[in-house]
This record gives sequence, structure tokens and C-alpha cells, in this order.
Amino acid sequence: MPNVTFIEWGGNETPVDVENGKNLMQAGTAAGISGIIGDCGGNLSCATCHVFVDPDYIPRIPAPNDYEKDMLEFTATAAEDNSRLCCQIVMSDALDGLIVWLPQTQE
Amino acid sequence: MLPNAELSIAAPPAIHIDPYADDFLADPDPGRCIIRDSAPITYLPKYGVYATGRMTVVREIFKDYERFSSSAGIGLADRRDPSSHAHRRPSPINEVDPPVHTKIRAGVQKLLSPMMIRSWRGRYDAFAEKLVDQLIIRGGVIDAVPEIAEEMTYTLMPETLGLDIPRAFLPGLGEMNSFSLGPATPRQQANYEQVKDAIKFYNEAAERENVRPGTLADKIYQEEDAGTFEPGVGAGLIRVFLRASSENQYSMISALIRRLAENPDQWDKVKADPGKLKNAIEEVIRLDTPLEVDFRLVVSDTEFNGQALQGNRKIGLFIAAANRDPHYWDKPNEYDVDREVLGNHVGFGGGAHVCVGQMMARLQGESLLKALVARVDRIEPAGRPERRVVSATNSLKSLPVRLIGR
Repeated sequence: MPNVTFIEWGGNETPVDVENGKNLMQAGTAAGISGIIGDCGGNLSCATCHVFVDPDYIPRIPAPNDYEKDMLEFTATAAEDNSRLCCQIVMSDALDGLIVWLPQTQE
Repeated sequence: MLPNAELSIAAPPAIHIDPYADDFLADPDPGRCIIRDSAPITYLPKYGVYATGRMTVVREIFKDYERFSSSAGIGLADRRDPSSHAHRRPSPINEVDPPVHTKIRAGVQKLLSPMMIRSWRGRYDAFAEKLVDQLIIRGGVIDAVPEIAEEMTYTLMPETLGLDIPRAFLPGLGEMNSFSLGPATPRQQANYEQVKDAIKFYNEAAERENVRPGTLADKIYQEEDAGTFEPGVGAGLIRVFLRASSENQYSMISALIRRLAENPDQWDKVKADPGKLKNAIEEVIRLDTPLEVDFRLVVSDTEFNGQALQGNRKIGLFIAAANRDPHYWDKPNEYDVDREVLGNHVGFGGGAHVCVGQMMARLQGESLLKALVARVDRIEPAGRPERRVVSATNSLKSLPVRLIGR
């Protein structure tokens, strides 16, 4: 099963095995990662699952759609070029070893 | 093609359920079961509309806005008919499709971003804390609908929006929103009569020169000036917010208190672990979904999951029924704060039109539940809850409880 490492604000690292097809918001909240909220359940309506993605992996993840791009303008911590809403990152073998950093705050 | 493929494409079967009749409004569950169990999609001859209460079907239709449009309105009436606008003008956000919808939605979403929600949180928390403190000190039986749910909603919603509407006029407006989603009935007529004077206040209060500076309504007008919304859209958005969110907010708050009172084991779990607080609210939105049914228009003749649908006919997505679909949920009629409900229920609708105000709804629920958990030991039922008899919305009129302080 591919592995993702969540690095929380403050440096706490948690590696999580994620089933292919599951999104990182589901995987992170299920693993008890406190820096992800995911209030809307993956509907692109809350912008509380913001992560910074390891730039090496960005080309391997499908680009954000217009709704996600809009939502990334409204995050509680300002977005950067490598920002994504992790409910939109669907796990696959190509993403094995991915590292994501969590922002200082989601709300 | 299989020789009998033609035969398997059947028209949705007619069922004789009236989701706006008094018996359904008093106890919707038996009717929901018939809608859900009879076929994936059924036909309600009385209104000439299709209906579905199955989770998988509801989800698919929400996503497919090209075949299932919102342009004819989210209620029973066909909003393309101008005579339906007399009491409620078309919503500039709920009753349009992408791409027009996409731009308006993005503008509204920005106004309800985590940053905005955070700016309101302190006020909401303080309001809830003071309200719960006062009720505990007073003691005895309280009616949680007017004294908690309506008190919170009718104070905080107009305040956040920045609208000056006399409190006495607010309750009828929430109910008007529900009635406007259903058919012309004597109850609807009585409500419209009751709100006649309120509507004038409500329309005037939403006008640009009357909204308070620095509030949500003011920001909506600023976005209109900046070109995010077409001229005239701002006032419509403000009215939608006040009307729709009022009705859904007090419905959700009332249901939350009810379920925690009736399920002391679940209340104890939330008290012991405030990490369950968000899920406790989400589970109420599933079990007691405020909006019963959300309509779409079948754009043209189409085949859907082996059923033949006629174009230009509306289809009612019974989201409250889907949220209790036994093929999808284990023990669907039970309140379980540990259920994996987030992202799985359709209480906020789905697809492009998923409720834009959902973060405001959660804010109010969270502020109240945090205040209750910090101050209340037990919530005890003190009489039978009474349903509000309105079209299309599940809501309580009365909920007698006792709050026993910690």
C-alpha cells in the first residue's frame, strides 16, 4: 500500500499507509492528523484540508479544477504554488513516498 | 443489444404519495420508505413529477447538472413560469446552472471562507455561552425551539448579515421559505397572509443603503461593485441567506438538542470527548435533514439506470430519505455520534450546488454544542417534541427539555 507522510505545523511527522483510491483528507483525518479538518467532507466547500505538497510530486497529481483553484484563494493560511486541498489528492502507487506539510491553521 | 433490452427500459412507476399532505408533514418516514422502496425513480401523478429517495440515485443526479438542471428551481414549482415569483423571486445562486452559477458561487464562497467564519466565531461562542448560562440559572422546563434555536438564529443571522428587521417579522419568513418550495395549499396561503407586512421590511432591509457597514451583506454589495456579481444579484443573495439559512439553522439546532436529550449515551460520549463534537452535528444533519426534498429538472428525454425519463419534468431528490437509506446506512434511524457520516450524507445537497452556507451552519452548531458541553451535565426530555407543519422542511415547533447544569 502506498505511503504518505504528513508533517504537522511544529514538525510532528506521521507516516500513513493509504489505500489506492482514497483521498488524503479521508486518510489523514482517519489517522488522527490534527492539522486537517475537512469539514465539508470533500465537497470543495470549506477549504479546511489545505496542505503544501512536496514539489517533486506535483507533476504526478492531476492539476486542480476551477473549484479547487477558487477555494485555494480562501484558505486560512495563505496558499503557495504547491498548495492543494488534500480531499482532491487521490492516492495511487505513483504517489508512494509523498510528503505533505500542514499549514499553521485551517480555520 | 439483447433482444429484450427494449422491454427493460420502463417508465418510473406511479405511486400515490403526497409529500405535502398533512400526514406526510406530521410523520414523513412511512412516505419516504414507499418512495425509496418502490423503484429507483418513481412518479408522483398528483404533481406530475418524478421522485427518488435512494442514496446512489440522488448522488448521481446531483453530479449530472447537464441532464438534471437547477434552472427550474429547487422547489416543486417550475420557476421558469413568472407567476411563481410573486412571493419568492428566483435565487441567483440556487436556481441557475454552471457556468453562470460557477462565478456567483465562487464569489459567495469567498465571503464564507474560513477567514470570515473565524471572524464571526468569537461572537457566536460568546452568544451561546451567555444563552446557556441564563437558561441554567433560570432552571425548570424550557422550550428549546424558541428559547435556544430561534433565539440564536434570529439574533445571529440578521446581525451577521447586517440587516435591520424587527424580530417579530422573522419567524414567518423562515416558514415562508419552506412553503414557497411546496404547492399552493391552504397552509401556504395562511403563511403568505401572515408574512405580507414582513416581506416589505425584508426586501427593504436587504437594499444597499439599509445594510450595516462591515457586515456580510455590505461585503456582498462590495463584490457586486467589483464585478463579481451582476448588478442586482447582491440583494437576491442577501435575501436567500436570511430566508433559507434561518429555516435550516433553527431546524438543525432544534434537532441537535433533541437527539442529545433522547440519547444520553451519545451525549455522554460527546461530553467525554469534545473531538466528537463536529461529528455529532454532522450526524444530526443526516438523521434530521432540514430540507426534505431538492428538485432538479430533467432537461430532455433520457434513459437513467434503465428507466425512461421524460424531459421537461421535475424530479424530487428526497435527500432526507436518502440519508436514511437502509441499503447505504447501518441502523439508519439511530443517532450515532461515531458514525462515518462526514462526506457520506447528502444533507447539504451535492454537486455544484452543495450548500454554500454549510460552514455557517456548522459554526452555529459548534458554538452551541461547545457551550452545552462546558456547562451542562444532562439534557432531559420534558415532553413530546412537536413538528412544525411546513412544506419541504423537517423542523420542530416545540421541544420541552430541562438543562441540568454541571
